[in-house]
Amino acid sequence: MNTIIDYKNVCFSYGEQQILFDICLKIQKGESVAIVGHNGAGKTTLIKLLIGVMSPSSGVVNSIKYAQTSKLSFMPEHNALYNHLTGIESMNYYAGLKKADKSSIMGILNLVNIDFAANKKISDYSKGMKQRLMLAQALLSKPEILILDEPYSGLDPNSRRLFSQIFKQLQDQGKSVIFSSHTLDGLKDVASNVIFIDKGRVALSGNINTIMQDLNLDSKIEIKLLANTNIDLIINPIKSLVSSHTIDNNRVTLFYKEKHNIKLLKSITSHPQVIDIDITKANVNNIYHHIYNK
Amino acid sequence: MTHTIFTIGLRELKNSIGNHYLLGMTFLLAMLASALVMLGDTPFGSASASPLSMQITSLSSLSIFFIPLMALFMSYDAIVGEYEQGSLLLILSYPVKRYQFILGKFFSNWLSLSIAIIFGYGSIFSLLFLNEENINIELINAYLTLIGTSILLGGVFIAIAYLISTLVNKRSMAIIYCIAVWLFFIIFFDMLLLIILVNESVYLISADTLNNLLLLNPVDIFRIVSIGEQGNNLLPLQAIANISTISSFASIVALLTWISLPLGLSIYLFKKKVL
Repeated sequence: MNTIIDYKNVCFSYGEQQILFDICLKIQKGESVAIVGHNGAGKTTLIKLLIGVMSPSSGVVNSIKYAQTSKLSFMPEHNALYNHLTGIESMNYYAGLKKADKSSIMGILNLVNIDFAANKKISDYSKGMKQRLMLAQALLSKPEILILDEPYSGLDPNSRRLFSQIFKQLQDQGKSVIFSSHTLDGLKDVASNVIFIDKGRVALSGNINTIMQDLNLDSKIEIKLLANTNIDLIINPIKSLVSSHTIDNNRVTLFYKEKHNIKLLKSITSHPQVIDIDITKANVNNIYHHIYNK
Repeated sequence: MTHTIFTIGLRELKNSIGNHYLLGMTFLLAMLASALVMLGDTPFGSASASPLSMQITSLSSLSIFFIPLMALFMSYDAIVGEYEQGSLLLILSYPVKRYQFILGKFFSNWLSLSIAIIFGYGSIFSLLFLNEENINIELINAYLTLIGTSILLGGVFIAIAYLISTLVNKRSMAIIYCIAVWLFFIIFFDMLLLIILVNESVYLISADTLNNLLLLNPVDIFRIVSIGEQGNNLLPLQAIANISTISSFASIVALLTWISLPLGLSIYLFKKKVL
């Protein structure tokens, strides 16, 4: 695999204020990477460096010269479209700046499901339509790298699914998709790798599955019991299998390692007092909580 | 390079047309010019100049007040507006150099204002020339000079607005600075100049000093070319313009410098600006 972005100890300061500290990251061609962090963690600043509108204050950048070329496309978080233009006029404008093939415009509008409104003024578009048009402009000129700032923010479920499908298609074509997100819903479906940013530093990065294995995070079982059940009767036989537990009236929550899944379930389901079980496997949200709430 | 500047400029021009700014400016200039022309029909004093010549002088005064204002208002958010909206970040992620972005927008704004001046004043001048019996080459020259220098004056204040728009990070600040610039160049600078001249007597200030002082204000340079050429001393500031020994050619070069300096500075600062 080719490394397209290689940052070593990259820092960025705005005046006296340092925003990014010793950022080290390596992104390979065809990878899909999520940059995750709280609001204000430094995600957007990192994205500004990646798209080339700002330069690092210090550090080493060994990347293919892609920024500010037609090989890289960017989709900003907020609506950056000109409201007085129609969808098609807007696409023509962006295609002109990128010297992209204008004959592909209707196909792209169709892909993001906005072709029906191509001749409408953007001022008449809904928020979701504007976001789809912003993705459309990013798809012009068939970029090798797509960088998106909070692409899922404010999207309805259908548009969300559409965006994920497009990102997967791009990955299948060997394109790199880098996006920032402050939420983790469905992240694993579209990103193979993740970079957690906390207070301007990379808190954790790598393949999502590998990180989850390495962290060996707890899964969770929530059990609902009949009223007046002796809870010790349920917990004592499995005490050695669980990391911790909480009790709230007739509800018990058990935290455990994935490997004890079957044994735990066998024991729990053997009790007639158990009336409901809800299992939540360790997921990306657990990594998030592990990093930001520790 | 020119393709990118042209693409950005064309989009900006569409914006001026789409939000009726261009039409509004043209209409406003035509209406104000018409009002002045109608007032100009009323005889006043014992001025020896022809009515058309005096109307051109009146229209020059109109240009001094309104063209800088229009230029500042149409351009104050050229950079800061796109910054606040988020479109600046998107455009600069494209293969667009920062100077191309500024030049594309600047030339488009200047073209819009020029179109408004040409059509706004042009419509009134057509009527005036139809009614004037003694049309001579001097009057046509004065008319063309007024249009040309008004366009240059507009360019100066658009360039100043671009400089302000590059320096600030909020639209509200840009508009405050633009109003301050307008008040300084249109009112305060000349008031100060008049106070100096009245108190010290014009003859105590050398011609060179006066010339240099006038060159510090693009509005006074405009006066030297457009009103000065009319030779009417109806207003005190016209008299100053006539005392000046700056040639029309030098004045035009000075106006072009007044465009280039703030524009060049805004390009330089924009290149350094952290977004």
